[in-house]
Amino acid sequence: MSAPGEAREPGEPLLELRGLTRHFRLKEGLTGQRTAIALDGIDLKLRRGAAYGLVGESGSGKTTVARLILRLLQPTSGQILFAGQDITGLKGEALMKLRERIQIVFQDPHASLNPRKTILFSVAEPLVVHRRLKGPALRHRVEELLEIVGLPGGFLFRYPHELSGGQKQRACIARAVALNPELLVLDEPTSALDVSVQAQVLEFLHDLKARLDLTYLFISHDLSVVRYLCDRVAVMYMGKVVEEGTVDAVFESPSHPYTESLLSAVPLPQARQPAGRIVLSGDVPSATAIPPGCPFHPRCPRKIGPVCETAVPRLEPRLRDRAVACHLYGSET
Amino acid sequence: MAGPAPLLELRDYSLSIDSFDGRLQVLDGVSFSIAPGEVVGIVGETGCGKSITVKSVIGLVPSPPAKVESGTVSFDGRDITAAGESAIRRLRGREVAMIFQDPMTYLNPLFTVGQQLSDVIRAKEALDPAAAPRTRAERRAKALALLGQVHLPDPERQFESYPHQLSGGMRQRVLIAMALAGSPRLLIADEPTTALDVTIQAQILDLVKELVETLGMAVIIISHDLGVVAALCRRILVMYAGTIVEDAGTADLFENPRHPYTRGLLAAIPRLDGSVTSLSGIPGSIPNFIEPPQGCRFHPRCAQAGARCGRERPRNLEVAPDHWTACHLFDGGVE
Amino acid sequence: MSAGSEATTPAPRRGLADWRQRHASTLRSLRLYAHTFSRSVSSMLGLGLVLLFFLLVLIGPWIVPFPEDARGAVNLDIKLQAPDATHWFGTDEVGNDIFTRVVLGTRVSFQIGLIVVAIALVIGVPLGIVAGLAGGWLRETIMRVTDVFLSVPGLVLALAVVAVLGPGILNAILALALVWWPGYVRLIESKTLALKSEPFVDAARAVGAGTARIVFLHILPNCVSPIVVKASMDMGLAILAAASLGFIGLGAQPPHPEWGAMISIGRHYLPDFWWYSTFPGLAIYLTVLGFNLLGDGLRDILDPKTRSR
Repeated sequence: MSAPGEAREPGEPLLELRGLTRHFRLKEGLTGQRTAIALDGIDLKLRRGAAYGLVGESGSGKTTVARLILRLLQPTSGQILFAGQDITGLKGEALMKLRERIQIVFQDPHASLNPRKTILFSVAEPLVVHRRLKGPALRHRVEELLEIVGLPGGFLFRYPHELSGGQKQRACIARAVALNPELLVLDEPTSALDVSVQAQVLEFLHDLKARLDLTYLFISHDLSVVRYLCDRVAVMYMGKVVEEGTVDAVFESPSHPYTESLLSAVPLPQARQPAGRIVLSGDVPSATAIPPGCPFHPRCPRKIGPVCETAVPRLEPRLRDRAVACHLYGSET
Repeated sequence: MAGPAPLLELRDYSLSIDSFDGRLQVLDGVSFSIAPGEVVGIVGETGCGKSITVKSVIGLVPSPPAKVESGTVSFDGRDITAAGESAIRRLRGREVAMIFQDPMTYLNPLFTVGQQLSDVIRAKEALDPAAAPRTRAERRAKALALLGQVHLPDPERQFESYPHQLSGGMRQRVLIAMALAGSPRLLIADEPTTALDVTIQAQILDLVKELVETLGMAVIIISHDLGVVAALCRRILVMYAGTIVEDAGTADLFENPRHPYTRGLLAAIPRLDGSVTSLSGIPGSIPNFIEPPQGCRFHPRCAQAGARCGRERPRNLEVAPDHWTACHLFDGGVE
Repeated sequence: MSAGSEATTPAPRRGLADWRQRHASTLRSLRLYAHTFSRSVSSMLGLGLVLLFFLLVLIGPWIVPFPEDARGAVNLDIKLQAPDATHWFGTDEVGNDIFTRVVLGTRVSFQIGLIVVAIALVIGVPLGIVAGLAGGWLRETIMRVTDVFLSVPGLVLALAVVAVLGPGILNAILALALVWWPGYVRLIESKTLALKSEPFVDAARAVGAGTARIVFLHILPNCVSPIVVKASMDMGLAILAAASLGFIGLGAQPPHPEWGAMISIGRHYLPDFWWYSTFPGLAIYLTVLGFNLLGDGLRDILDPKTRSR
């Protein structure tokens, strides 16, 4: 999986998150308030041309990352750097310019298209908002975009409810690439689709990336899909990155106990299940009551001692190809 | 198919549902049987009819608009195709239990877990005239025993909890406890783990596996996830567009899939070990059910289809011991 | 709907074929609406009643036998006559034809209903959208004021307003409109709150769509169905409320042909001259019933959850 983007300077990341944090205030009773920590100081770097996977279970904060990058939410603290520029506080014209460069595809293709508007309206929307085209040229460009995503002729005046799930997701992808963005955030784009349709969309996304010179931030709870599409991956748990590295390294020899149990929990579509599955006990804690120390320690099968309950492990480089946040590797360098 | 007398048997079962656009032929000649204590998976994609098959068998599909076009259903040797509403309800209450994808929908938010479970226990008693009615305390004890059986942590406390205070995995455990209240002989689980996170899914899969081993009931697992059925079932039925295309033992199905649809499905799944580097989806989309394709319903999307496939409905044929498939490729060719 | 057949659809052309292709979806939806609607007896009854009364609104002045009777003519020699071939609904205490007055009263009632609902929409919908989008103190202010209005029974409040402004048809309309808008604020605020977290609104924000675009192209079009349903029901209720004001003498003043006022005078002549109150009463009953059944029917077809695919 090589992308044309690699030719450019590999040193500077396209997207960089620095200590990105987001809290939500929840009302409780009449006057009480609780703070839910959705995202707790994460650092990430996305190389241009990468297909970067972000995996985690519900409540891990992965969708919050997407909404922050898209500037649909404001971070509580931390910075988002895009192509070297701090975009955390962008407003007005500068924000509009940014929106041409970062786009998103959401999980539920049905809810992502206005049910009262035609596919032409939805796909044309970015071009209209940014005053790129109008009239016949606009319609022509939309037809061209639909062609690219594999929805030839006849779809322009259809309404979302008349399209299948896969067709709707293709329309959403057409809208997202209409402005020729550099970064495409894909928030669980195939989890609402059937496997045979998912396969078509994944193949298509794979080709599209090379064809349009895109960088992907691919958010998913489905580890197999990330393995297929991505080259790097970050595993999130309770608003923190617990392991980060190349997909091959992380999937073949996971270092963090959470990554290990996550991979082990996936039932495999094959004749025999591997022996020695790790089944974690307990539930994911609430974001309003994150355990002290390592947030994973109450469920961790490899807890080493009191240090896990008191000290927050930092994400430290390990081996050559990854970084891990776990006290197991505390003494290593 | 030798062996013990089947617990549930469908023969040539066809079902249609009336809609605004016309009559949908949702099931077409579905035949399968499940032995007592057997764990069977039904897999297929959206709209293949996997849910509606079992729901219509236990009377959960309103008729009209649904109508049984042909075929018979028998449970424990009794023909229940024409059984009345009350007979079906008794069957559903005592012999068959069902759990669903979204447990919250099936729990009343206004009552505690304990109240709801006790109600279910009382309802099951009412269906069984032989059983002596229990006292309140006995029902509570039974309910707590059931919650213990599904390994709900701290059952005494959860007994007093409301559904919204429980996590998704805990709710699914409560729903399973309710299903077990009547000691059913057949448990139907419709996408039981689809709404759950993968680490919680692993817990529920373990629980179902343990219950099957200790209680010896038959289980039908309906799922779109081949991994889930592979982890739980000994036999798998693959459905496509209202027909069963393949029926085989789990190991046999994954190692030696025969039907082109099954093979397409397996080739479409990305693998966790990275062993698949190129996915092939199945071209096209599911057919129109008002005028379903003639012959084999899969032929318009099948790369190996020939003239015969559009003409003649394939027979269900045993291509290897206990491995059945409905495809002309194994029945004299497609031309 | 198979992908194969779509690939062969020719590129859109100008003219009729183009128009039909553009609107194929809409046409199919309309057919589906008509089909669902026509299968419900009560919806059709409601539609029939509403259409009948609308017809009377349009052609009333040209079909009534004694148009001058609505303008205060006096024919004491034929007062309080029972229904017969000339006076279908009988005559009142000054000899006016009740049929004429009931038919022309339709105009008055519909006028009041339409204006009241229109004013309520004009006030309620924008406030609802602002409250739903804004949040914070602005939303709190709007919603609390709305709550205050909603907590007082509408008719009582309207009574108070008319009492201050003085009786009369215009003041009745004003008073009713003033108590009618809070319902729309509630409806639109909750709808806006739900819509603004929909992914399609997020997608629009992510491409940079401004608030105006989001309100007018994304939120409002998705509020149309509930607005239509509520407006239809409210037409009936507003007509009833106007008639109530008329009945207690605070609405339209005699000799203006208004149903509530007619019943009010007619009740002095009960039970011997039963027709005087009965026919305007029936007119109110059927109008309100018609709008309610129509609203119910519209809700059934416009609610996407009950719509079949």
